Amino acid sequence: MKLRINELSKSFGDKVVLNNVKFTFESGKIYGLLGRNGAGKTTFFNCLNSDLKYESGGFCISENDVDRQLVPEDIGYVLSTPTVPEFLTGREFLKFFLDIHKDVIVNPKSTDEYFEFMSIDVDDRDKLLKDYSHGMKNKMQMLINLIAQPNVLLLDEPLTSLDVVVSEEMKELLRNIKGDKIIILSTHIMDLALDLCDDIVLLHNGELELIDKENLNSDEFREKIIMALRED
Amino acid sequence: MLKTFFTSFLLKITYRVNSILYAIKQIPLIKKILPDSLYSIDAFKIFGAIIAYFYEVFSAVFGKVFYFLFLAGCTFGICSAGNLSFSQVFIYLFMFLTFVGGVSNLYMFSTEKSKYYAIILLNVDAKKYNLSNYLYQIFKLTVCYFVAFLILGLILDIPFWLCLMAPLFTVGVKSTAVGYSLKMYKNKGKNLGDNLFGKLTFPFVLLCTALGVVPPVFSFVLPYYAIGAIMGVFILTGIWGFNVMFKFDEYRQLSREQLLNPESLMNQQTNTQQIVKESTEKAISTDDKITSNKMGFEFLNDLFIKRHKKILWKPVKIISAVCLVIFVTFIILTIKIADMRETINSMLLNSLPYFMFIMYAINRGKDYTQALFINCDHSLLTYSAYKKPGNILKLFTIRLRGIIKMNLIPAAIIGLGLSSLLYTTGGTDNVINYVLLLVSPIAMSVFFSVHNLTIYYLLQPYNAQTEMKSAMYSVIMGATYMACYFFMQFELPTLYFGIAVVAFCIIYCIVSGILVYKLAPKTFRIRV
Repeated sequence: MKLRINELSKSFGDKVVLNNVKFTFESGKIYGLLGRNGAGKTTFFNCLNSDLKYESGGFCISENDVDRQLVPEDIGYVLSTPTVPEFLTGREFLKFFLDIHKDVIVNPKSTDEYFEFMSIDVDDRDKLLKDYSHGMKNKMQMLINLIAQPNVLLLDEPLTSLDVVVSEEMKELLRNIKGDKIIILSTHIMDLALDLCDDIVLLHNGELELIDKENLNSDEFREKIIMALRED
Repeated sequence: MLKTFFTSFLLKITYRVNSILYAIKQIPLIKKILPDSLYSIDAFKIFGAIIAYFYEVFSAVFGKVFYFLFLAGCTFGICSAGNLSFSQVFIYLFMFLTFVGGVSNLYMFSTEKSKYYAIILLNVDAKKYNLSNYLYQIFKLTVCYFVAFLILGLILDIPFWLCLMAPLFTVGVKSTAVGYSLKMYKNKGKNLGDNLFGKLTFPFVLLCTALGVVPPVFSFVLPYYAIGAIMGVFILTGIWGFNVMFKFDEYRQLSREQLLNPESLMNQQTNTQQIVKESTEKAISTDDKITSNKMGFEFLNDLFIKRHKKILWKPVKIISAVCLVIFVTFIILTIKIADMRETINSMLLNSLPYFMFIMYAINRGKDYTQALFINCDHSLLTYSAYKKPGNILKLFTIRLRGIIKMNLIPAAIIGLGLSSLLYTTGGTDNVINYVLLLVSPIAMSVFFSVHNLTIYYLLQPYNAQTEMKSAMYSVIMGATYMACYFFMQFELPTLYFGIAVVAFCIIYCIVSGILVYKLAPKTFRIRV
């Protein structure tokens, strides 16, 4: 499966943020999306998630060389600040999403099995989400996005404010689920991108560019990325 | 002090100019014409400044004019029930309502954003800032009230000396209250701010209003000399208040506590919307007995309603109880007092447009949609399944049912109350009037419920930070208010107005349904 970006353009007034972007993401990979502040990473994600209108171009999913339009169900979007409905308990939130996805989930599990999978403690499962810690909210957000089984998972600075244990758990999870998905992770943390991601994509001057690792060692690769970003 | 005042005034105007330009930039079509650099273009800044200064003058005058018109309206209503002259009731009511203003709006402790910028961020001298701005507000009030009372003195037969005392009395009440608040802070460390009486504020307001309204209905008011004496006392205590204000030397601490208090007011990012956001988030019930046996979106909505009972159903119950008490009182009064019947009967058959505003004011739709966004849609709209067109429409239908049900209870009480009152005041030859008085408030209630939810779905005005970002939404909500207020001014036969309202409600509901069905899947998004 591939996600094709076809000549996507988006401007805010006179400022061109995405300039005729052409790119293809492939499943089975975690892409690290790097860019300087204000480069347009979140704008790119918002366009993909249909939260923002764009001037021209578009996206399509390509499976077995057959293209089809991207639909909302293809996308899972995990924000850096986890957004969960605080008036529900963890279990109620999960039940709600299982209910509305009951037609698409192939092998539904019990809510407790999902909580186990996400390492959420028994004591926390029936607490209101407003009493969850940041890390737990993040896990819930990730779990809900995974239940919907999206083809493309967008992660906007997902590990930035997590403690080291949760952060490692999340990284491991992402490595485990990447097989049939396209995972695009936006981050400012170079070490995270180099540690977790299979490919590094730079967003600069309104364009996406894959950084070729060639035969560079990690220090040289890091230097190459920084040099490319400085060209802005 | 003058320099501090001009600096803070210019800061407030600059903030206002930028807000005006921002609001203009949000208007559809116009936003495409205006350049992004409009904040740096002199012509736009001058245009914004003209509006900002005009607003400064307009808000100073209009608020007072509106208050005096309101006062005149109340006086007129009271006079028609009692045997007193307009002047006697007017000045008597004015005195008691000034006490209400004395505990609800003191000017000194306002927490607007420009004050935050000046005192917290720009380190402006807090004493000079607070005092100069307080004096400016008091100056505006005194000038407007003097003009108003001079005109009233010429039109009405209020003694001239009382017309001169009234503005000073208003200043006296406010300054006494400010002095008391500052004394409490200085001596007992209590930062009361505007909230002088704490939990007793509402009963105090109620008491003052009752003392101002009820005795004149039964043809009793204080004589002019007694009113003059009370005013004189408060003018003197006002001088004490000014003395306290000028001697008080802890303005910086006081203002910092008020401006930086996360519990009550604003901090660096917050404003009124932030306060609404925090209070809405806190309104979630933690009762662990709350559950639901429903499925999917019905399950979500059921839990939302149950866990937000405090902000959704509690006000409905209070409004319903107040309506019930009012109608039962009037029904008993009209049975007991024959003189009242004819006037009220005539009002019932001609003043249905007035209820347009009442139904607008008591409708819970705006608060409901606000709570929906802050505690539910704000988070769930980031999940793609939630944004699927079918799911948006499914949830809209469920919510519409809920919001209509919620508003139906007070509407039904009002409808039944009006019909019953029509009967106890002598009835009417045309039976349809009974039906229309019952059905019209219900139709208006349904209309406002549908209107609030439809506009919310079509314009979804909030961004991810739960800030209101749609000028169009504000314009439509403002226009709705103005239209309802406009209706209040008319007397139309209930028969025709009632039929028109019911027909309009049905047509509006159909049109809204079509619009939501066609557009909401595209418009119901978080503003980016």
